[in-house]
Amino acid sequence: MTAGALAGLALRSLRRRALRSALTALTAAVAVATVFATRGLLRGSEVALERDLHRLGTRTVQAVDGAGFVPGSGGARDPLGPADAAAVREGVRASGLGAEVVEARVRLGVASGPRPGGRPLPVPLVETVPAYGRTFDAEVLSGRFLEEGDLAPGAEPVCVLDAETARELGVAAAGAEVAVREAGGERRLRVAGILADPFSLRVSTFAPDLSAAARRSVHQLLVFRNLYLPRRPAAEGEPPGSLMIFAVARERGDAEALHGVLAGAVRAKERGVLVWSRGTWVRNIVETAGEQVQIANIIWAIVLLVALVMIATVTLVGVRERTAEVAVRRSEGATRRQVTLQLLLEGGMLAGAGGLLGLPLGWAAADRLSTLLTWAPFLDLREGVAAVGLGVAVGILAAALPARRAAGWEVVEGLRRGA
Amino acid sequence: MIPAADLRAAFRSLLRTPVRSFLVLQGIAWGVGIAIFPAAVLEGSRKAALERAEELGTGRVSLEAEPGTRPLDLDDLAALRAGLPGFQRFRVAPFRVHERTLRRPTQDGRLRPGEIFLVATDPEALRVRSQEVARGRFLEPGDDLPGAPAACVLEPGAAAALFPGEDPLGRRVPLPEGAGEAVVAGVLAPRSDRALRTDDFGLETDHFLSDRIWRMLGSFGVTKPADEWKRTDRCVLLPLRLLPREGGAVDTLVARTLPQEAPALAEALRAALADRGAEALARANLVWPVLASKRIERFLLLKDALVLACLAMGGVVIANVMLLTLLERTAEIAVRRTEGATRGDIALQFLAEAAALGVGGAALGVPLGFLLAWVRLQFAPFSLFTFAFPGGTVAAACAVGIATAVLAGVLPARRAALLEPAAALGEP
Repeated sequence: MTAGALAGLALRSLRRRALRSALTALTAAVAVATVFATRGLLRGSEVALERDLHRLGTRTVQAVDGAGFVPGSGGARDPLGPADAAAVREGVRASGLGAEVVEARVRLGVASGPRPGGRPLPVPLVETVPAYGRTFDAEVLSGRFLEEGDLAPGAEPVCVLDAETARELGVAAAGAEVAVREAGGERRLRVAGILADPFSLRVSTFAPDLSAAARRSVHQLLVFRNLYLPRRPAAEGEPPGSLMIFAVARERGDAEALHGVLAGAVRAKERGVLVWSRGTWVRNIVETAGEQVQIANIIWAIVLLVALVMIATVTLVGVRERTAEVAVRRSEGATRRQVTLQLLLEGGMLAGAGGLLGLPLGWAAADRLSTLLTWAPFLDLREGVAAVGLGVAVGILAAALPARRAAGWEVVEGLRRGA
Repeated sequence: MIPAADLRAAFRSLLRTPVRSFLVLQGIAWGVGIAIFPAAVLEGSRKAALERAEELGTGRVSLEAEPGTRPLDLDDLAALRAGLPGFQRFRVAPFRVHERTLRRPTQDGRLRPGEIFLVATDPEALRVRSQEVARGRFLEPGDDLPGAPAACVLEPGAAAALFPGEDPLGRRVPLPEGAGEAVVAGVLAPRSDRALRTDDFGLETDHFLSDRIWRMLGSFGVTKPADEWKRTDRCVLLPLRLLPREGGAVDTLVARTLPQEAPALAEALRAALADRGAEALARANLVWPVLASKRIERFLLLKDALVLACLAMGGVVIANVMLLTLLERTAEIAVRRTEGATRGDIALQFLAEAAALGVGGAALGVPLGFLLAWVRLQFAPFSLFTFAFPGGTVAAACAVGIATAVLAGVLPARRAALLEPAAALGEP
């Protein structure tokens, strides 16, 4: 008997029990829809996180004071200073890597804005230069980032806010005024611009922000709740805060070489200065997050398992009234193997048909859920094929036990039972 | 409503094929279980956060100066005490931990280092750390006055280690750097095991996943503090003047308020200290803000989608299997009809069987939900996580599960009711 004939037989048999077949296919459809939607949403969260993290600037390498950060460097302090920035510039120039070197001085301040009744907000004050906007994928939401003109002595006092800072201070657009207090003194600054939040996932995912208040300032920069100030040449020495030196490579591939240049220029090892490449950091975090997503896959595995049990039960009950049919087929010369194959084929075809129905269902579900979760599901053809494949596997597996049982019946017994 | 007699008959009929019935009600059971389990964890943990705030420290915020910046000091403390209004039951206490800890005599008389911590603090520490005095008294403001007799208070582990089998009250504890001795004025009551195993972030220190979380925190720029003293009961508490520091510096400030206000307190403390030129890192319970947040409800909608999927499969399969068994039961139906049962009676019988499947599914689903919650808790390294019985959710989930089953029974019931007795008997 050819495969085609067997398939025809299976199809006729399914059509004879149209309602039952439809209901079984519906079960498979729900299972496949759940698998497709869940996998799509999980993969979507990974993609969104990866995109967010890559906006943090994977070409950037930075040097920060390692006090209390690098083990054993907590004692004597030899902070980074302008001389180190000069050494890094010299090192980069000598290396021929063509990287851009950017300085930023960071300290914690307190900001308050037009928001009525708002509490004063602790914010990292980032004193820096316009090029800082190139250490990550800065996108201006309103107004502009810092410009060369802001650095001139006597220029109008301005600042630029991260979107989250602006939201908390109640600043809707550039042009508003905020007050910044630090070490007792207060300054009023005009908001020259607001930067878009590189974390599209921030609204929905708490994880990166939970420990923000306990993070070292260098990492607090990457929470993007900052207030950026122009770094003006200081009249009387350097202002307080820790100096960070950033180098932005032209290509991501240069970052490793750049790491070496920075580490050498600031004598990182001897002084306990921390030099790190954001690209490596981003990769590590993406990997860790990936592990979490792997664990979350248990969700659809459970649903698939339930579907397997359910379909197997229906098939098991359903096959009992087919003893006569099986006996007739056996007496017509069909082998046990052919009977088994036909039943397996029926299971697989039903689940496959259900699965195809489940795909648009899953798509719609994922689409609907994603508006609540704020990230887009990652739904592609391969995921769809995988989901339907899993559904078909479940259908065949669910039919395996009943098929074995039916194929085992002796012809005579089958006819007797069917009668 | 379905008559009780029908329901009883339905249960008997389900028990005739126990394996099949068990398999058929899986969909409903998993639907009910998945509906219950996040609610059980959420409700239990939220309750624990508020009711056991003292033990779990959900209202506490711990502050340290960022390494490399100016240390926090007693002036900061005074400023915080004077000017941080708006937080209920707000208290804050300073702590200095002596670098070289006291040594503890072992049985052979030799000394083992690092076992006992000398911690200088002030009278507020008792309330801030939610401790209780078992005997004697706690530190008092008078202890810090110059010329007052040097007093100290022992945590129970320190008392047991320094004065095994003896009454520690009135005994003397040597102070570092030849500063003399302090007389034991009081002994504190033991804290719970759980409290001793919980760090500032609410992580259970001995949980197998805690190290992983710390590694992740490390990559976000959170360094592990040297705060082992907080999780021992082997501290000797001294008045501040007995462990003097240059400029009145302190290692840690610990503040507390109501759990609901702790995240806002952390912000306010950092702002107040930044205003004074100090950059403080604040640690508070990591999961409480998430549990307390309304945003988490949105994530629970995901669970609702899964519940829907399981219930849909469960309902469809109940309908399917009942339709199948209808064929086997035509004779039974015909006999009942000839005995005088109406179509309505037959329909009720089938609806009752569907309802019985629903009840069985719900009965299986509720413990399954708690099992899922328990398994989930094994993977949560936060001591805050626990589960409660979410009455409302359980009732709603069971109701929806049973309703789904009854709904699934409508089609088979209709078919059964419409069977003609003669035709049914004619076709075996």
